[in-house]
Amino acid sequence: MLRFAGKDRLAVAALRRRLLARHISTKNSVLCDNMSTVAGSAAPGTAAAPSSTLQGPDSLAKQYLQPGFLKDKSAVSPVTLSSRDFDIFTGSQIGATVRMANKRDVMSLWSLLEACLQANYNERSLSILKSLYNIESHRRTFIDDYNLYCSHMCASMTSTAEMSKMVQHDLTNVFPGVTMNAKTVAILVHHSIRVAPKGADLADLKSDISIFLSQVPSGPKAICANVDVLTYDDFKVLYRDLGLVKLQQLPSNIRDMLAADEVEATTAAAGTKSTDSTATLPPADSAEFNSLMNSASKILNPSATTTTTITTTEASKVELDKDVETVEKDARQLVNVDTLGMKVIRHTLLGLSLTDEQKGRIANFSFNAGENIFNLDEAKTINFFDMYSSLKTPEERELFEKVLEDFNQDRQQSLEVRATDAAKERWRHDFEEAKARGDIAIKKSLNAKLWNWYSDMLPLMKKEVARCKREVLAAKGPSKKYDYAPYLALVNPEKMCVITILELLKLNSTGGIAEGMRTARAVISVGKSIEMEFRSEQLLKNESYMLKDINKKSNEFKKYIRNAKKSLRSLHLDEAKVIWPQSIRAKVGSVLISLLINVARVPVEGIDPITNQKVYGDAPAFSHSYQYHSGIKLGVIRIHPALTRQLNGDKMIASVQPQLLPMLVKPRPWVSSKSGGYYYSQSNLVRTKDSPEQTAYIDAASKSHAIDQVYDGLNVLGETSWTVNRRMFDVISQVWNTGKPFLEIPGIQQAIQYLPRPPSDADPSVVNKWKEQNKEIANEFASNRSMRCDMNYKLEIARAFLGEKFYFPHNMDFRGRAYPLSPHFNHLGNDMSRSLLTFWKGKRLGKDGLMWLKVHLANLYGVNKVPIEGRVQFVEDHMDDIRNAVENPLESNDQWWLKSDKPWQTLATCYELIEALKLENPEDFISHQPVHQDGTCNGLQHYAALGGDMIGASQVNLIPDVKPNDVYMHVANNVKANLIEKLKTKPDDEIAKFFVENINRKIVKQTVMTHVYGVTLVGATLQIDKQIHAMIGDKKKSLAYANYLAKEVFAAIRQSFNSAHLIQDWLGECCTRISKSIRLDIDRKSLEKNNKPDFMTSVIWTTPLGLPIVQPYREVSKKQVDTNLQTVFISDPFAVNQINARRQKAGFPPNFIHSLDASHMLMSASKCYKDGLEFASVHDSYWTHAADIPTMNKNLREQFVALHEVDLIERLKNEFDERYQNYVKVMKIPTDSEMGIKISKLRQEMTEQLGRPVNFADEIEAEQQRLALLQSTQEEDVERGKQMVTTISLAENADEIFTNEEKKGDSGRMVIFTRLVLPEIPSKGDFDVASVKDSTYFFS
Amino acid sequence: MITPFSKKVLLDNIPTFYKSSFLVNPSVYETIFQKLQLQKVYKDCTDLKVLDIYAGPGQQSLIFNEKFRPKQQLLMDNRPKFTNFWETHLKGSHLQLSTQDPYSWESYLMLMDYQKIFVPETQDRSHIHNKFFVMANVTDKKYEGLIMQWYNCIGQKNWVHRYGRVQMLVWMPTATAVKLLAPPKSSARSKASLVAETFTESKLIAITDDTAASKMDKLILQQHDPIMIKHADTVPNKRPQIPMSLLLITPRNVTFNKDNWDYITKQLMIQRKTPFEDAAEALGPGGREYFTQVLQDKNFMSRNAASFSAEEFILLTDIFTNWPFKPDIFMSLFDVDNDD
Repeated sequence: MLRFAGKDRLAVAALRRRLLARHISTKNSVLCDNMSTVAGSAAPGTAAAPSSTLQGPDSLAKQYLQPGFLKDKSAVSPVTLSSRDFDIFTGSQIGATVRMANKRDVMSLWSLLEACLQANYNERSLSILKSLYNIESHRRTFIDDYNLYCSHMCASMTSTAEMSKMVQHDLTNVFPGVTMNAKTVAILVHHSIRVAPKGADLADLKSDISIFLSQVPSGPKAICANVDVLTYDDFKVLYRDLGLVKLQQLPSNIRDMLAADEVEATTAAAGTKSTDSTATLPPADSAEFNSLMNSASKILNPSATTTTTITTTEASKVELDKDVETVEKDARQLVNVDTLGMKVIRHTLLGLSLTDEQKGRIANFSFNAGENIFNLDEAKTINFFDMYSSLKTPEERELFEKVLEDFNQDRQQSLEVRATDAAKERWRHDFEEAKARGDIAIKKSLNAKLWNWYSDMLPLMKKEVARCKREVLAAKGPSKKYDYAPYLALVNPEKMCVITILELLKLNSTGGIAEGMRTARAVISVGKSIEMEFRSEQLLKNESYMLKDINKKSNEFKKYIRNAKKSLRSLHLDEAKVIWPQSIRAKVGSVLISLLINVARVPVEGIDPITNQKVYGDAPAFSHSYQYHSGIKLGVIRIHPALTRQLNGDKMIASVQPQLLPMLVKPRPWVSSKSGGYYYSQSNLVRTKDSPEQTAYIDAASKSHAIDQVYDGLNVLGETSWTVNRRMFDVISQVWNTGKPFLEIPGIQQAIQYLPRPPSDADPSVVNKWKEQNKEIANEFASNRSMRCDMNYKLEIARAFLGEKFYFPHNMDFRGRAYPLSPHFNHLGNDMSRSLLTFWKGKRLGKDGLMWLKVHLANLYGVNKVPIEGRVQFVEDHMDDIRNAVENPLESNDQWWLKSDKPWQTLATCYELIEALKLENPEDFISHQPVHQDGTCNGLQHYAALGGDMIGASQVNLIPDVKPNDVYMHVANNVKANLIEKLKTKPDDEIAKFFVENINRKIVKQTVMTHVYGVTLVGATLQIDKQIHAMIGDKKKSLAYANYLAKEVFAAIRQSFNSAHLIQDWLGECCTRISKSIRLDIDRKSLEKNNKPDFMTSVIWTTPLGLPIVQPYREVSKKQVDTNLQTVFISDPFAVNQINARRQKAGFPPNFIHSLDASHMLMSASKCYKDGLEFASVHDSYWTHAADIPTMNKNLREQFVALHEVDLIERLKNEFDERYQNYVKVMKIPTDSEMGIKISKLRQEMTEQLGRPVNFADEIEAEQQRLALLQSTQEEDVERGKQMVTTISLAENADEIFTNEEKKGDSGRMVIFTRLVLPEIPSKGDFDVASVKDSTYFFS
Repeated sequence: MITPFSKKVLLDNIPTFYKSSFLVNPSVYETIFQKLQLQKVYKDCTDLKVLDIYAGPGQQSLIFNEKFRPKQQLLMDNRPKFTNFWETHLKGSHLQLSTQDPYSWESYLMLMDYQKIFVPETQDRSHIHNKFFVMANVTDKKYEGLIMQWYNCIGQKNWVHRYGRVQMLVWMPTATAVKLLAPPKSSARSKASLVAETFTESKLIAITDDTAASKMDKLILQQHDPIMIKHADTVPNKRPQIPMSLLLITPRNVTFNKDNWDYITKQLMIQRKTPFEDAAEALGPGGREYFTQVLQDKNFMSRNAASFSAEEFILLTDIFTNWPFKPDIFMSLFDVDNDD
């Protein structure tokens, strides 16, 4: 046996060196990965570091990059990815902190560089560049940063010589070792062309540029790819005048434009008018179609329209104390909640307004000249949906849609871009009007007040900006105090004032503060708004940059420009990588808020307590103070009550983001994790909050095309076009405007009515009760108000989108579940929201469709537990009610439809059905109504498929049956049977008696449903308590009963879904072990400190679609930032902390199931799209046209089977085994156990050899040694490895040997390392998933 | 007659003391009672009713009862190990027992108003109540909040204080006593010390001799000259020992707007180190301007709340009460729950 005793330590080290030097060729090729070295060797990343023979955990990053098993393996390109990008998250806290600090430094230097360049602080910019240069890990991409600087400097130079001199000097003397790239050359080329004397001989220019072009090996094509540097004119010069680049070296957009330009120039020269250019049009089959298309597009896009953006002046006036105009619509105006948010929404929606010119063009839309096909009534507003619906042939409709998509491009821009200038103008206007009317008017008008604040704030603001400028210019180096200074120069002071005012008013009543907001949130919000304003200005500036020299061209040419713009826009959105550091946001925000606090005042009145006279005065509108909130000292900014009354003090829902509305054009398809969705604002593929680890995995997966199927599915969801259900809008708006409560719409509320205060000497119990009750009143008031606001936003948006064709861009949460990006109004919303939405496209019902429409109606009503025929029968039995609902929906309060489970959607379907039945052949009806198919307890369906439970599978309808099974009923019956059994032995069990009599499916439903998503006993108790509370009355008793039943429900679920349950337990156990493990190749330093390992390993798996899922649960760390208002604690987006084991464990089983249901949905979406279906989903509810239900049903079953045909648990285990194979787990075992004694003995021996106490790092190192030997190709090494014993090899299988009891506690226990081994997977039941294909009620 | 228990009896019979600590040595009790001079207020105690809250093992109750022979002495505790001990050891004494939860306000209403088991007389506030006395042991540090609420009840004149100015003799963690007795400018000065100083005269009678005692303000130790108690004279024996102090709390007769006072002390003590000229804004929008104008005292404006005496807070309360534009002080009481 080879032990440490056998050789001295030096010899072992020498052996190790030898092994490493030989670069052991191992049995496993992955082991040659360039992962960081084992403990004790050179620092990771240094060139000299020898490769380890151990497998890096995330060399196993490759794991998820392996082809998804559902994919054609050859389709996936292999990825070269350094595991260094990932081991940052699994190493040690110290390592992560250092590396993330570098990243944080780079990010903050970037943003500072950007700011300083914008503000023309050239010297400072150069010194920032030097700092960036000094960060070694960043050196590789440093040239990109230099390019920013170079471009800025060149812009003010007047000769090519000057520019080359600067670059030469900088790259030789200041930043040695850095070489130019294609972009540097593009910059030099652009500016050379710019400074070249016009009309002069081009020979000099040509020779200069030739030299530049020869500087980079990548050649002219790579240089020309920099369309953000080179303008259209530059390309013309390079190609046409200088002949230095070839046509094929130009980007395709530019090539097209140049070609078109030439054709145009030639035709113009020939004196003919350009009428046709088929090359620009999408391929079409018939000449007739082409000519239709041409004439139509000419009408909607005549040459009078320039390509410049629509001016938004009309649409951008924000009135804050009057009603903002609403979009002109031929529909009832809504009585709106009077909140600022509402006004902002209305203001944004004005982007949907059509100009007279646009209206004219639409009115004249025709396929043949001289024929007004739409017969538009001038008194009515334009309704694209009506126009579309009136078209007769598919060709006409297709053409119309194409033209509309084009037409809507500009409207989309005005929807997304908001203007603050307009707000200020409106305040000034109101102020002046009020001034003309006299003082009182000024006091009353909110806008006039805002104007006053603005005018008072502006000079202070300018002073502050000037002071900051002085500070920056005077500062020798970076100053901590004024580190925000460069940022204040980016947006003009006027805008900053307006933004500050608007943000603070918007934040009123957030964060649980009734009349005000949390300071931390306020400073960050204001800072972020300034940053966003700066970004969107940049974006607009860039957009027209390349094409700035182009004007007056033909339609066809403009088409090219539009295309070019579109791709440019994507380019810029994708490149937007810089974010301001949180501390800068906070500081900028606090400076602005302080200025506003200093000047903003409101008139107040009060009663003098001494004289009892009314007195008038004025007070600050905002005040900063502290208060206790749930026991925590919290900085708050209070808004004066006098002002909140004027703002109507409404609770704002979340933060209103007006730019995120449904889109008028197809969303940008997802192509990378940051590119997709809206056109003018960046959206992320994954909704993630400060998890750099997740981002890194997603980015890597995206780059390797491993998640193309995910993109595909999301793009399908985004392509579904919608319109607003006009009939439903009419009914709902009628109800809404009464202001009375109706269904889930809360009524309009007057001021809050608190209970009167008890006398001051009332018993403390009375005072407490009074506080409690008033809090309840406040909560209810707030919740009703916020609900009414929310519904109002939805309705107002729906109203504005009447007659429009629109889309919902989607992204997803980290488990892969899809959500529309636009909040408020979407198909995930409540019953009312959903009823307002129909598919833009219609499809003939046909026989199947008519039937499914009826089934849908029954399902919505709540009759979904009977066979399909029964549901059809139900509808037929209620035809009179249905007719009545349609004819007089609001006639009385006991209408049939009102009692439905989902009344609004029921009513919408009634309309659709009755319309169809009006036709001679109802099957001919063109239906737009989305029809839903819902899974029966979808989480349990996945569990049953994973576990192969027969009973379970049948209860959730995975097995064909003549009627649908009701799992809730099933569980309720099981519980009842168990209780009856229990009563036989304990006849006095009162609770059991109670439930035997009273249990029903409703009581257990929520618990069964959420059980698979990991509801805890406490959660289940509260759910059940909610159901039985009214029956029992007493709070304590009800809770006790609920707790009792919750346990029974859990047990009953376990009976039917036993295998599924074992899987749930297995998932939990895996997570527990992973959470307690560390990498075997951990560096010595991080273990020696405190002799305590950091647990950094989060649970990571890959969905069947290749999406890497990283559980983001880590300990939070907040950073303290001193601002001039107060010190705020804000979360640090660059922090990588130890994992939160509790949340990792609780989250894993449900997250895993969600990752499967998300995969199923996306797979079904893609398949349906291929089959020509419209598809939408709300997680486990899939929607399509009635006529297409049979196809969708077939697809979703096939996809479910395809998903589960592979043993997903086994696949997960394999993935885990590979990913975590070189991990060790930290655990406790009894000291006096056989294993404990052996390990102690070995530790004792090691201590003696070392001459100091052995530590964990020594133990790990010894094990590394053993494994290196075992993996050697030299037999002699392997033999020695086999002989070697380490504390870790002694602890083999410790997890299985000891019981849970033995592993717990402190006394009599010792901490050991054991190889991380995951438990064996539980055996699977007999259920065969293929039977799902024939199960009618799987989704129904 | 039941003789006081030996430490051994207590330790042998009571398996847990619920994170509380109790003095057991009868001779130390004797010194304490001598120091208290209760006869000055309660004379021969024949009319005295004593409410003995969280009486624990009942050693103090027993010795007190033996010494003063009050008219009625009711022990309140709902911790089973103590009530079991009483069942076996205190039956047949003069002591009455109630197992109602002393933490719940309703328990007192039940005893005094409904069951009428313990009904004190209501007395005028011009003098200290001479027929009603409260003793308590709240040495479990999780009940610090309860002690603060009791102090608050003195200001509100509710709970037992609706009967008049009722003296209380309370054992509490020394850390709590330090907060309550902290004088102006001391680092422990808090809203609690203001409440104690404003509404009561709180006197440190005894304190366990340990490191926690060194946190007590030197001046207080000097003025109050407490009896130093050794942990050896207490139960349980467990380490870490619980540092505790005994306070005699005598309510003052105060007449000013308690609500406004509460609001002001709370708002200002959140920022106890902030100069008043900045902190005043926390009293309401425009507060800085109002107080600057009324006080006309630059020096005062530059001081911070931690340095204000009880009298100065009362002065600020009066000024605030007269402010025509003062905010609705109940506004923040009902901030909504949903934290978006």
